[in-house]
Amino acid sequence: MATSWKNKPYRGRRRNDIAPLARKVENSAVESPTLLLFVLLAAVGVLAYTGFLLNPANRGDWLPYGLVITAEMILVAQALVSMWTILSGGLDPRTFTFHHAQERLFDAASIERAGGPRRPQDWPMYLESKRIDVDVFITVFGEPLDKIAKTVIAAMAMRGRHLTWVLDDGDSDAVRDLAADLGANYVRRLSHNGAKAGNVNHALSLASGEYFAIFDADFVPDPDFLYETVPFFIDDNVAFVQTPQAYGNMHNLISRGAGFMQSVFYRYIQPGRNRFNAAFCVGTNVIFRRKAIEQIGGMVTESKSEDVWTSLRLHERGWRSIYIAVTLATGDAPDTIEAYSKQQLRWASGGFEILLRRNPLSPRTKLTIDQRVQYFVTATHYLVGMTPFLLILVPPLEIYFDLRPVNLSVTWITWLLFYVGFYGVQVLLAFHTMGSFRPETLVMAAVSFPIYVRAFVNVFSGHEQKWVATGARNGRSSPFNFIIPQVLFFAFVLLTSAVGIVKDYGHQTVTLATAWNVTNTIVLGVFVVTAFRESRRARIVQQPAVTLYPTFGRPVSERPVHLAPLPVLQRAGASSEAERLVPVFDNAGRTVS
Amino acid sequence: MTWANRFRLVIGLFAVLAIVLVSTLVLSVRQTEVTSASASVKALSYSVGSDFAGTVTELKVKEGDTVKKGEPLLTIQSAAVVTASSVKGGIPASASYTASKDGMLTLNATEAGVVEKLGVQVGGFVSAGSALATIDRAQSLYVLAKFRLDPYDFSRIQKGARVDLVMPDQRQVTGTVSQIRVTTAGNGSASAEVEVRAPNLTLGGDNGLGSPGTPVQATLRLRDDGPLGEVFPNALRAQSALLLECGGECFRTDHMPTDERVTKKWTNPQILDLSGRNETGDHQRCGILHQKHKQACLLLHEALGSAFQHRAILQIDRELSTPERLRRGCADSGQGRLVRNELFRLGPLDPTHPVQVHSDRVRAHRHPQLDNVLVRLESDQLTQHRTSVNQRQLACERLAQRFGSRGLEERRRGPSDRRPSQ
Repeated sequence: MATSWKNKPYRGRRRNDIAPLARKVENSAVESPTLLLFVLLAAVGVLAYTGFLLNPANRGDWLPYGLVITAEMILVAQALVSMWTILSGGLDPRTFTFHHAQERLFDAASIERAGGPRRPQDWPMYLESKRIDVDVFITVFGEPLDKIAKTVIAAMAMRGRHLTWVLDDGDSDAVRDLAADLGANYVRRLSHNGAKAGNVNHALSLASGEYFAIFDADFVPDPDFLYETVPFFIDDNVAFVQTPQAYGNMHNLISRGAGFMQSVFYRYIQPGRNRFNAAFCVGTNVIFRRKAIEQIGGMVTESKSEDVWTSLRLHERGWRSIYIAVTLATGDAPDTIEAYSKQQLRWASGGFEILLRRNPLSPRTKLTIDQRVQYFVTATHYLVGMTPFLLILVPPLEIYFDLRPVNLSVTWITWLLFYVGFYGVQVLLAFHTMGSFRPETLVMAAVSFPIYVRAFVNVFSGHEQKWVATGARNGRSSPFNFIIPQVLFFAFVLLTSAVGIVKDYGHQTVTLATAWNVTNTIVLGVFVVTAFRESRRARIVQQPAVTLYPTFGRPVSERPVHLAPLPVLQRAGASSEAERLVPVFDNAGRTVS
Repeated sequence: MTWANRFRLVIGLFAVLAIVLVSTLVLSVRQTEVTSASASVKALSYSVGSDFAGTVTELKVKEGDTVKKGEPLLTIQSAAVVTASSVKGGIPASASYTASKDGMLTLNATEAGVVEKLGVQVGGFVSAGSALATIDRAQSLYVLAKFRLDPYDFSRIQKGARVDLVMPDQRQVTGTVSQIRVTTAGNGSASAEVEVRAPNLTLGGDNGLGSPGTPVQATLRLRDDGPLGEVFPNALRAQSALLLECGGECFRTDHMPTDERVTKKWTNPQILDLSGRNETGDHQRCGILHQKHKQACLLLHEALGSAFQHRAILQIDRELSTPERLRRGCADSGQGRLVRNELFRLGPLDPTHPVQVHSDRVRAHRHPQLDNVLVRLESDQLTQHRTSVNQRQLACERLAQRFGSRGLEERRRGPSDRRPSQ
């Protein structure tokens, strides 16, 4: 392929004129040599803690010891594997071939033919000098109209010629009108089989591009999404390119906790998995090679977490997956307890399903050893979420029945030292890699166990859960519908704390059990208070009724302002909100916002 | 929230409440119990020895045999006996052996018991002054239980407190605390050794489970003075006590040892009369006078002789622990004067310190030397002595003088007492 360029010198702008990529890469800490030091320190802490727990001399009563050992061994194993994965993430998936292809993605001559620098969404894209067609699917399922509009506008404005499709599973006429207003293709299905995967498969039967990108309705893509991802397909083995989910709505405890948890995954775990060729698709902000999906018979519809299953099937067929840690779409983290619970339930069910239905360690699964390891970690990852359930029971066992996880001769200072050695260094690691540490993450991680337990029970008992899109807020109900177990646990640890304090007062000592139990009470209390606030706010703020926008067919001048037509149809200098999302190049080729 | 979920939440909250209540109940019972780190059956034993050297000619018992008092154990043929018997007074009369003129020396058991060790064989030579056999004394079985306690729990061990013993065959035996020894272990906890006497333990009984060295599990009942103890009146704690007044002094019956010897004497009409002529009223009318208290009365009577002019001033009974029932019981006893003193709490019972018993009107002192005697100061005396520790100690000493320095303890432990202690 390189030979063809010898005869046809590239005339366009150089890539560093267009996008200074380095600034955008978010996992730069991976390349820092200090990370290795921190990981080694953390590993020492983990091993010391494991040795302390497993030391037979420290063993206490069997029941709490069993609970603690089970929980901590899951945590320790996952922590070690995570650190290993993070360290593996230092390799940039962009090869020379990628940069070469990226530089030649757009052709200056054809840009001029397509309308010049002011219409980047019409620039034809070339891979190996061949024109390529890209479809962009926006999956909609009852999300608010303004969110859909924002996403569709941004998707249509992405640089590089592509066709934007709104795949509406919510059967909303308002969305249909909106799509028509904005000029996107609108697809509605007769049936709703297979949820999101079925929706995409249906659209694939209509669209014909060699590549297709998928965005959830609340993920607003960056104009450079295609520019950063499409060149990877120069490698014929690449089935999909996944980009992170970044969140713009970090405004309350739920979304901050959930968002931070995710960002560790997207910044460090996924790039690490790249090295194992086991990065998996997360259902949005992803671009697929159509041929790959066709080979596995379309997106997997049998599971609620179609994304992981699709990735697994592709990997089994020997396809490559690429993950880049560059934020190319910003969306909403779940910000209500309902949304959070449903999202986590779906993800955890997906993980456990893999374990049950296609055990990555089984010889019948055709994966490389690297992929087996990583998929096994994925499948068991949500066991970590269940560990607080075991650990929360340990202090009450000691308070009521004097059953201690460790020997009486172990003082609480020893405990504390080993505990700090384990968790303290983990927090330090988080500080180093993420630049900050959010206690909300701990709160959310500690209170989510009923969701994971439920997912575990659902999967292993074969009882299916109803799937509802994350971020969709239709039919909003009280958060307490989703957190009855948490409220009950809160009541339990609260009463237990009272008993523990009275008991300790009698003995004139402070026991570690009471201290832990009070901590657990506070953590659960914070969550319950959050739920109370959310419930009160939901009562005050009435959700506006879904209004139809019967703008289809009306003259442009009569259309609602916030649904202004595509900015490209407007005069230059117009300053509607929609236009700001579309980059406009000045003469020097830089983006003017 | 949907109504179904509300219903679920309420049901769940009730379930949580029930779990917490039951667990707290278990806790409050358990708070009054400690389980031994190790415990085993022990016995007092004595050695059998010969004053004369000789050759063993006959063994009349085997190891493990039960022997009665005076039963012959073994025979020794001894030249020294022949020599000594020729001299007048050469062989002193002794319960431990009989000697014949022809040099045959028969060693006898001085106390009933079980042969624990027999160190000689027929034909073997024994030298003078050597121990030949060890015999565990009958009725001397006790359990030595070791506990590791925090100081608070240690302060709640009481002499006479009930101890549940679980034998290796899961049989339950009940005993009482007779002796407490303590050393301070590292990190401030108390390492307590408790001697437990259990009448149902018989030497060599129960297929050998009654032999010394048998491991048992001991669960000791502690005095319950936690707030939870008052929340849950607990029938499981059958701990009761009777305060008996003698002169100005006061005795707690639950600190006195029970003794079979006294039980046998219970049929003595005079003693029965002693209980009957209690001017403060018939205890049995209250229905709460326990066998234990009767025994204690008898012991006191034995110890003090005619000086025993007792009046029950207070009955503390955990089985009737509600103040209302206690008040009614005291009212029945016709002892109006002290009816209002029934609710008091014992302070920590540390054997090395005199400890106060607090109540509105009664202050009682336990004397360090007389650990079963509580000194009571009347309420009017109380006002006088409230600030004077010295005077209170004077009262204790007065009591000690009255009973002699060895006092009650000494007299109770008569020559035929089989207590294994000391």
